[in-house]
Amino acid sequence: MKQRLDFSFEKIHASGSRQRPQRQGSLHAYQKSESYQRQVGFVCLNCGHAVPSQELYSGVNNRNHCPYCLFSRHVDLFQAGDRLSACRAPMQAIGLTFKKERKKYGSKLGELMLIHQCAGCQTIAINRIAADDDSERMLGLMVIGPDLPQDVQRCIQADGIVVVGDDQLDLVKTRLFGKGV
Amino acid sequence: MYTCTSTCSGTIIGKSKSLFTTMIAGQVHQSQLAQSLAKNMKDPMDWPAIGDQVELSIQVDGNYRIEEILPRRSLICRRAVTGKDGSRPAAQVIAANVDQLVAVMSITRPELKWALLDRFTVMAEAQQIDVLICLTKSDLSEELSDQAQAAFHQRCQLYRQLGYRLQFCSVRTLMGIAEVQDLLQGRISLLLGKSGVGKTSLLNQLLPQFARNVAGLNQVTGKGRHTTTSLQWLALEDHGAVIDTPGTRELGLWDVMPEELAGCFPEIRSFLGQCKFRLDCQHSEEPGCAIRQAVVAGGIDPYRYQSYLKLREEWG
Repeated sequence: MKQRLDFSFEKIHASGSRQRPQRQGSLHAYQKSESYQRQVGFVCLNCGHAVPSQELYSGVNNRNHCPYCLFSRHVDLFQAGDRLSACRAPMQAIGLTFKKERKKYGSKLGELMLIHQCAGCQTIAINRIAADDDSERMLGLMVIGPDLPQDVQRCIQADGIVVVGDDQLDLVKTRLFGKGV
Repeated sequence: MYTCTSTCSGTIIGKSKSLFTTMIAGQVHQSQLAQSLAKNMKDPMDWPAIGDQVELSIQVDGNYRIEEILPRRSLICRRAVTGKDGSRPAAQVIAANVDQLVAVMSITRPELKWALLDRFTVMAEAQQIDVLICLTKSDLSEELSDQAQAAFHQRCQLYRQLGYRLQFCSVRTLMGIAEVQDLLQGRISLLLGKSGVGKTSLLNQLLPQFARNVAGLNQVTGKGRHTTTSLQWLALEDHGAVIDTPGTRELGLWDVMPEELAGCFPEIRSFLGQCKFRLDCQHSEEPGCAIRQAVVAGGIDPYRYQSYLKLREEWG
């Protein structure tokens, strides 16, 4: 028999809670669950806004950041959607980049993406922009992007990400507002 | 009124409604619960379970009556699967006085579910019993892609590092069968695993005298066929025994409080009490959580941490 932590005292004295049926589906737990956040929405860690997840609002299948303050959350570790990261810290949008597309007839520059940096472990990640993202705030990132600290810029370059600079302002505007603007 | 002539002790090795198959001095007898004991049975966990040591009285007519259930060393139970009516969750006792939980998992066909293995290990840790992980169908490992094999061996190494014994075996090539036989000797082992992983096939190799029915996987669904339908106590030669069980499709934990769940993960246990909120930390979103920091630093495997969170979520 293994000698491990002895919970016998707690078991005897917490018999009341032990009799409590194992709850499945309490409202608080449901609101915290991944399925709720994926289907209904979530509350932004940074600005506290309630953010709906429906594709109707965001125009993307997976809402991964707040459209108001552009903050995200560090939840994925190895690949998008694995939810294996234990960091869970807020991720601040620090710039814009273009991600190369595999589409044959897609843009040569690629899709406009947000660059996020984790406030906890400094991990860099890129995320798709959504239709209802605050455009003014995204244009503001173009100003911040080139002035990022050297160590952050090194991290970004190490991941093979190229930060969008002022010279690409027209292109970014086209992506955000269309050709007619 | 029944008249008792003498008393004896025995082990419950099978049950069917009100009749209990009991091993008394190497002989198998049928016994019933004494009325005085039956009156006090209010909880499913109070009833005699397979593996229970009991005191019996021998009646004048030769019948045996269970008068007392002796204190249990361990009790393996799960949350009973409830129907669609949403009735109250209840406990389903699997076996008592088990020394070792044998988690039987197939490398492939059906697919290996690591989360289910984590449930088995938590169940065993909560009862402070040993775990033996039997990875069956090891002759089929070449069916896995190179990437899947690398990930599989990495996970195996993780469980070895956590202190669990892993044994690869195959009933086709007879690989690892002798080692499993050695590990079962002299103790009461409970075999648990999904349907179709080869629990009974493994037992048929180890104990050919019992020759229990086995069946292949369903070719359409790729799942097991639920061939073993009841618990069976299979006695070994040297006072040990193996309890064969039907396939486990889902395994809800019972009798594991959320506060003690983290203690059932050996790698998390060493960090308990080091969080900012000490033992009140739930290790999910609290600031200053030592366990989350350990996961980020690589001290705890993220998949195991994810298993912990999922089990914790079941409590709501």
